[in-house]
Amino acid sequence: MSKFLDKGAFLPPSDYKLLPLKFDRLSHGQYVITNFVGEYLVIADDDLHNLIAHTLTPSAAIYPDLLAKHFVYAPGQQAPLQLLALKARTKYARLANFTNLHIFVVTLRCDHSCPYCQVSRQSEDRAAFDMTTEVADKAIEFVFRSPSPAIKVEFQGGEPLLNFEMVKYVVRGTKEKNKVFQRDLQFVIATTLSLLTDEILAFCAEHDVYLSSSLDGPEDLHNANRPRPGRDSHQKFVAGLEKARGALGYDRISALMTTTDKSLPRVKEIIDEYLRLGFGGIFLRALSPYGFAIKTKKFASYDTAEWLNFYKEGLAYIIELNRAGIPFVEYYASIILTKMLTPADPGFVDLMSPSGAGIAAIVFNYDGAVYPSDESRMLAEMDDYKFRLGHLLENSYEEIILSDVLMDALETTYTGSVPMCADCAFEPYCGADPVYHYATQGDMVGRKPESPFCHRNMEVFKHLIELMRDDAEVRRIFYGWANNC
Amino acid sequence: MTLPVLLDFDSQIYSGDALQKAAYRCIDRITVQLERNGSLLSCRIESNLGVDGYDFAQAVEEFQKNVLDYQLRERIRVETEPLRNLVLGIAFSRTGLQGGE
Amino acid sequence: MGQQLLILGGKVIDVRAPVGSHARIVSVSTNAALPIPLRPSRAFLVKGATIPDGFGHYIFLESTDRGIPPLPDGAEFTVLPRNYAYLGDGDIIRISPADAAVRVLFRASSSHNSFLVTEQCNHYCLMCSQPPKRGDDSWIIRDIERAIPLIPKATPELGFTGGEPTLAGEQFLSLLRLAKNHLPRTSVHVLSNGRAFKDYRFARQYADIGHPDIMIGIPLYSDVAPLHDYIVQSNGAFDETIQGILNLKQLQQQVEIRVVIHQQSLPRLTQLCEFLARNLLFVDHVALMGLEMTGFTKANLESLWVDPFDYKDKLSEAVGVLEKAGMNVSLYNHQLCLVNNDVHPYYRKSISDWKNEYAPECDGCARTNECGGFFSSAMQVRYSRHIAPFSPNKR
Repeated sequence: MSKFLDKGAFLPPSDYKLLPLKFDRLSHGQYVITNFVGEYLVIADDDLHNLIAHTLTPSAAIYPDLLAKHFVYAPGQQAPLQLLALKARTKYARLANFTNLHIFVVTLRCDHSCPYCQVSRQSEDRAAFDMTTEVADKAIEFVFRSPSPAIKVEFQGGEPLLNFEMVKYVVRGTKEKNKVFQRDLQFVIATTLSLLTDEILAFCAEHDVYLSSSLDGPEDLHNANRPRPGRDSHQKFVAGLEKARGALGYDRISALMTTTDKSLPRVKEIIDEYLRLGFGGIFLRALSPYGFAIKTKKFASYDTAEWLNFYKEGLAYIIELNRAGIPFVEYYASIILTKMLTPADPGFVDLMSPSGAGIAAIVFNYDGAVYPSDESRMLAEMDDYKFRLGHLLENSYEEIILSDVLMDALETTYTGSVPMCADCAFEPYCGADPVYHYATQGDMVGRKPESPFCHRNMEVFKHLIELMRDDAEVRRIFYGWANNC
Repeated sequence: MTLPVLLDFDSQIYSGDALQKAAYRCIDRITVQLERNGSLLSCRIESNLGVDGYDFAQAVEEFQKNVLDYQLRERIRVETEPLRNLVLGIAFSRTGLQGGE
Repeated sequence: MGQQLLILGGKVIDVRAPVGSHARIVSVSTNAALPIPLRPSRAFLVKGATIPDGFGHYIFLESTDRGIPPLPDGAEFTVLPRNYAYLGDGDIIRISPADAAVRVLFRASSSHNSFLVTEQCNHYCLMCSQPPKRGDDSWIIRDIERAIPLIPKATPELGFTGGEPTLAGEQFLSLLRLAKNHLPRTSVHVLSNGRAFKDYRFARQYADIGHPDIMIGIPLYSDVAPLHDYIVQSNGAFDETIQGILNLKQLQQQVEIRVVIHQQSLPRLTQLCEFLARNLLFVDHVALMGLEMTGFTKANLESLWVDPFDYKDKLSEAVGVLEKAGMNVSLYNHQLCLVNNDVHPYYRKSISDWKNEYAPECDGCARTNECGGFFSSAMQVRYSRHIAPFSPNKR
């Protein structure tokens, strides 16, 4: 019928306008472009140059994707701007909620003596290494100064179960105060599970307390990392896991690994151990630079390359599991994929800009000192008090939160304005990590080209994008992970 | 010890900013000194200590590609900066957060 | 064997009413014992020998073996063709003595009643099932205004469609207010291209009606303006529709996105779903719909038709995107044997209860009760070559 117009009457414009975008190189002579809310598109080299030179033709195959993902728009359109604004607001919404994670270090005493750990003490001296009720009371007050509708209280140590009385005190105290504030509370204890008793489990069941434990891999690897009298850390873990699952619910116990150089050649075995013990996923964690690693600069290049092999091999193995119909998630990837593939922000402290340290998470040490992150308290145990924000019994909430050291850290490390990060295409996925860069380079901003944090993350971002580029089924699997956060 | 590489860039086409940013990106392997030389920007590129011949050559190649990339990035930034501010303004127009704490 | 297509409007056999009288909108009653005060406003449908007194109008169904029995003096009546035998208690009809015409406006026994507000439209969709007409048809709205108060209060759901209902502007909003007023417990579903809501004041007026249970179904056929605008044949449509959606959601109104799947929308169907999940995650529902073989579809058949069997995997992919993002999805107007099992949780049996038919290929199928069957138009025009009955054990 002649009254219908053909497609020629509805072409995309040749005088398109660019929306803010950044780019970086991928493999195979391609680029990836990203917008400031984290949407990405793989684009051929000449398409990118044409795009920027405004010579891209309306019939270019990539043009619709550029429109749909808000890299370009037609003059006169309003919807792209409104949608971008909406997505930006969604992405930053969490910021206004401020602090969610509050870590209570209830004791430094521990039954393990892990070589990489900076913070444990083999001691019976409760007075020296346990949190007091006076400190706990102040900490609880501090918690409710946060406007966040969801509050997570996490107990760490040493081994928190060695001061279970304090755990109970804080749980009860927080819940009591919450009758007024009506927040959504969640409690977690970070523990090796070696000291679980029925009494402890009964309390956790009654108060909906989750357990977060450590599993480094198969028995020999795990025990080598985590010495304990009796050399039975792994055995204790497995026994504790079963007991805890029975008492609290199967999914109430999660596991995190610590990656050491011994882990690097054994990623499949580690994943198999997680599978064997019924976990739904694994977080393939980076090597920690703290402790002895900081002292040797060799850490930087060699270990990052090795770790990337470890990570890619592990991820490939997990993808094969998924292809075979076994649902199993790699959590680091899933956090990044949430940023890449959904409008939501996963709220992961280590990949936040402004830095999550101090605003998304805060640490109350056993002695009353306040730190913006776990790593900064570790630095303090090594006599570096750079990030000690204040003391609960000496300083007010305002003095601590508005302290110079925290403000400096947040402002100077904001990735939108530091060298290399400011122009980096992957900036929406990444984060500032002032404590890491201070610890490894002596400077909170750090020189990113020399930073294993940067190198590692850029490689992972590129790797995930390339995997999705090359395999539609991987994209589908990743899309499922992205929405589980 | 590898010999330094000398490169000249036409300052009408390449900005000092782009050259500096490109140099910064490879700072873990090379150190670049920039000098104005009439209408040219001259770069003296030296390898860092411990960087062998192949890695140095690779870093120099990367430096040159980075120069082009950063030049392009500058162009995009100039063109789209007002739009970015506009969109963020729209995003937070109703939060009441403008105007400081 | 399917139901016969119901006739909803046409000529009457005979009508007697005072000369020059206007069209009547009446509620049908089959209750001979209806309390007297309620009778003058109703039309009694005569099916047996009884003709109770006092009704405002009488309806007879044409029959060859008897004439019109004696009626109370001066009583008005209409004789309808036999194919209106489906009429029942609570139905609302419009009888126009001037042109001897009848139209069924509301069927109490149906769960999918819809008022067409106007046939005017500012789009010209390639697959439009209700091709637009120009010309002032505001009399339609006046009819609806008279019909709404007659609708049974317990009616679960009522629709407003067109054309483009918002072209009637304030009059359209009045209809919604009337519905809220008379039928506060009735869910309202509006079909609109959403462009009028780009005007924040109009969106505000709509929201201020404060209807307790209303949703607007707005079509989006692509993630990009050129393709969407082509399908609806209007430049600028996509941009304005999105602005309308954003205004409505900002005012906390319920919005459903409707997508018709055909040859034009299919290539970017997955990208559209990704676009929805990324940009419009907050909409209340997404309806994926099969092509209806009526209206303009027939004229554009060769550029629209695609056998659903050939796109079942892409459909699964698209549904997967929406479902993983946590959006509410429903799939309409498809036959059960043409879709993959993974979309069954989202498959809805039917979108309208009076258009369903089954094909000869359906004979012996064990799952017809779960399947929506076909629109009659599909039977006449075209349907999939891959229709195959489910055997009793096949899942």
